[in-house]
Amino acid sequence: MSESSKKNPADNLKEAFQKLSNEVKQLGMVLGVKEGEQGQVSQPEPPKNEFAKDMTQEEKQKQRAAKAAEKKARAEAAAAKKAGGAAAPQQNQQKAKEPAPKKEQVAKPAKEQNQPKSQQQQQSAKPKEEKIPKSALKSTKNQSNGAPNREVQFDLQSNTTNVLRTSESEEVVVTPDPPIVPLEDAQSLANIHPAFLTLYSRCDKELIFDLEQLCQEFIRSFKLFLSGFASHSEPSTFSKEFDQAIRPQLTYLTHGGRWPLPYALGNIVRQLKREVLKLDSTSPISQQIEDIHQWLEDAESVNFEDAYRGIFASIEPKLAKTKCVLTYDWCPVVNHVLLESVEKRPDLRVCFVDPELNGRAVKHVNSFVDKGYKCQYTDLKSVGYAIKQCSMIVLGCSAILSNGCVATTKGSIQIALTAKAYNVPVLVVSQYFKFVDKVQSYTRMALLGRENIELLPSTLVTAIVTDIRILAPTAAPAVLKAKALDLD
Amino acid sequence: MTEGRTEVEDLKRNFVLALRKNTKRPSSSTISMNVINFLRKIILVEKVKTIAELLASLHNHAKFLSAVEPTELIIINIVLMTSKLARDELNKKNGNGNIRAYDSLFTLCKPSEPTDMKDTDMKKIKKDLIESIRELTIEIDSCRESISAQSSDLIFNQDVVMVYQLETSKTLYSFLAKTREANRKYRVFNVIPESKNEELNDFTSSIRLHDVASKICETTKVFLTCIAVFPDGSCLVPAGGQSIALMAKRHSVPVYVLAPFYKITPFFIPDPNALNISQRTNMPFEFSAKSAGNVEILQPAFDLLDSQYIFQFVSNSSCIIPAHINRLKEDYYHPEDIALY
Repeated sequence: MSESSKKNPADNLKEAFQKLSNEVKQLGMVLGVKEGEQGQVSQPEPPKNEFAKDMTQEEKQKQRAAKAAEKKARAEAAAAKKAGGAAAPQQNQQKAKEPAPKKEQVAKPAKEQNQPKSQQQQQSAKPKEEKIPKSALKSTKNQSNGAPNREVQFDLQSNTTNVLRTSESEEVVVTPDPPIVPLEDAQSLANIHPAFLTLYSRCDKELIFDLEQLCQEFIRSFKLFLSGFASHSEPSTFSKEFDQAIRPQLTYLTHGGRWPLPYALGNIVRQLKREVLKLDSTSPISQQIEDIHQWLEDAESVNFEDAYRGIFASIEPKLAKTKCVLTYDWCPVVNHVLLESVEKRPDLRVCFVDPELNGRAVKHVNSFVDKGYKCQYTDLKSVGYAIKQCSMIVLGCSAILSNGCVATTKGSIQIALTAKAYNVPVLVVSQYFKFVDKVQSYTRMALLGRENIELLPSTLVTAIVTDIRILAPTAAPAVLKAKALDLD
Repeated sequence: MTEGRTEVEDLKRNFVLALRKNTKRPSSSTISMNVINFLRKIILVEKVKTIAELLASLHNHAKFLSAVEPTELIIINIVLMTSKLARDELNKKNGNGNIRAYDSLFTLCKPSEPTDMKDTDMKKIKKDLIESIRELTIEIDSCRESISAQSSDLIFNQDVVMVYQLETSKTLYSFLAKTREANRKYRVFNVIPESKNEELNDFTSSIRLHDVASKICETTKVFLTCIAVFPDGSCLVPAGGQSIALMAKRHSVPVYVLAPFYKITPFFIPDPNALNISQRTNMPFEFSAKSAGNVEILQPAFDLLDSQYIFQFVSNSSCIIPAHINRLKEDYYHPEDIALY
């Protein structure tokens, strides 16, 4: 074993670096670089600081003198203005024009003075580049290149941005999604009722097809949650305690508040919360629970079973005069209405349109075939041919916004536009609770995230058939006002 | 004469067989080339004494073929073009080459029966006609290149182009490819009627038909292909093209239709839907077994697109507004031939 191998490996490394630095120094000497110069290059700041220290006293005196002179000049100018009083505007203009070149004259030397300094700083501050903000670096890069920069850049940490180079000239910065509240850990899931866990997983696996089914399943899950809720407080504080208990459940369903609940479900939740807060605090807890349960039962029957019957009663006179009805995608309300209509009028022709063949509208077809009724089935590309034969379009919806827009399945705009081209009326069936006081559309919603929704403009909708009456889409604000009065 | 007839019959039979044996419809240019070759052989084989007999023979063949393949309007178009060429040859021979058949004065003064069609040198006319047909063949052959050459005048840098049925149209593909060769940087939304996993090429991004509403806001131009163009500027486009055009109209996006000259049909069709053929569907067997007899699946091949939704037709010569199609048909067809259909 040699001596070097016996030594600590760190010492070996130090020796190697020392040798390397000596060789570099020798090489520099050979090339004609003096040791003093090397020091200036490597440590540019100390001489600058010394120079600054030497010059401070003189500069201070000069600066003070200059400031005093400026003050005097300003005071004289002000006195002259006052004395001039109503001076001619031409003179003012001249005065206004005169300072501009002075500023330029002042600015130019300043720039000239600054330029070498900045260059020196750039040279001297090379080791300190990491401290300089990225934006400043990029601006200098842009100036040096002289070409317009197309980069989309954000002041984010380097590990949070992924730069995808699509080509040499184009760069697209992909920002990652905002941090998600980790719900998967056991502690956070411990507070979630199994009924809501089941609901979430069913939505995740796309076992829930539509909004109607989601609302009904939510109400059922809530009933289970309510029946298993054990209160530890007094009757007077039950409503607040229950309201607090609901919150984590909703937070879980909305993925930590990241995505909003679907429009109509949001309405139900809002009304439910209001009912909870309005509970009679004097009555016993069992009675309060019973009240909530009763409200849920009512909501289920009024918003779905009774509403279906009401919608059919409203639309029946219209359907009685039509020969062929066309509908798009799957909607349980439309299915109920059309099945009822065909039972009353077997000669009514019904055409179902899917975004693509073998899609969700097959459920419509199956429901008709099961009952022995005939129907037509097609996809979106053939809608022009299908609409020519039809005299009415009936569409389902997820929500009706306060500006009259209808949130429906993607592709409904094409149906409505084609219908408009052929002068075919478009009716949208909707329950009362689907009117929402919003105008915003979301790219994704909680629970039904994969459902594609688009906003159908109110100008393309002839009328909205609700469980109360047939309305124009522009009547949505009136409905919302009436709802608000009801709730109050 | 009998031998000649049998030979002509054989030619017709072979042509129809060649047209029908394909499981997938060949491209329009292929069909038009087949038709023109068929007509050239017919002209060579048939022994006619006058130009009137030749024209009558051509129209008989056109009626036969249109009865066999009623949806292929290109067949009639090519026959009518050939008929127009024959008339032009006769006019040249008689020294009336400058008279336009559509001029109103000529229409008023024209004789009821073409007397100048008799006693003509048919050998010379046939020879010249074959030469004209050869030129027409060259024109059809170069049609795709001519249309593609105009792409650089229509697609610019930063354009976002929406196309439909790109995978079935070679002309549309070469149109876009030509612009790529010119180093134009633009995006292409390829609308596909059914979801497919495979991407057609690297420079297009496929979108589904129901996504058109969300993507049309980004689109600057729409390019469609057509099956036939009618004199009023309307045209038959692949099924689904109408909804794209409607959406484009709503968002004020110009719609261009690639229309080679042999697709300009010189006569109106009272009900274009009568031409519409049903396409095959890809429904699962379970569905078919359950719904057989109760469910009618509608799968038309074409949409009739009204002229108001079309900004321009991109033909092999230039871009034409829909109102000028009626004028353009005069270059290729004779009014007396059109009157027969």
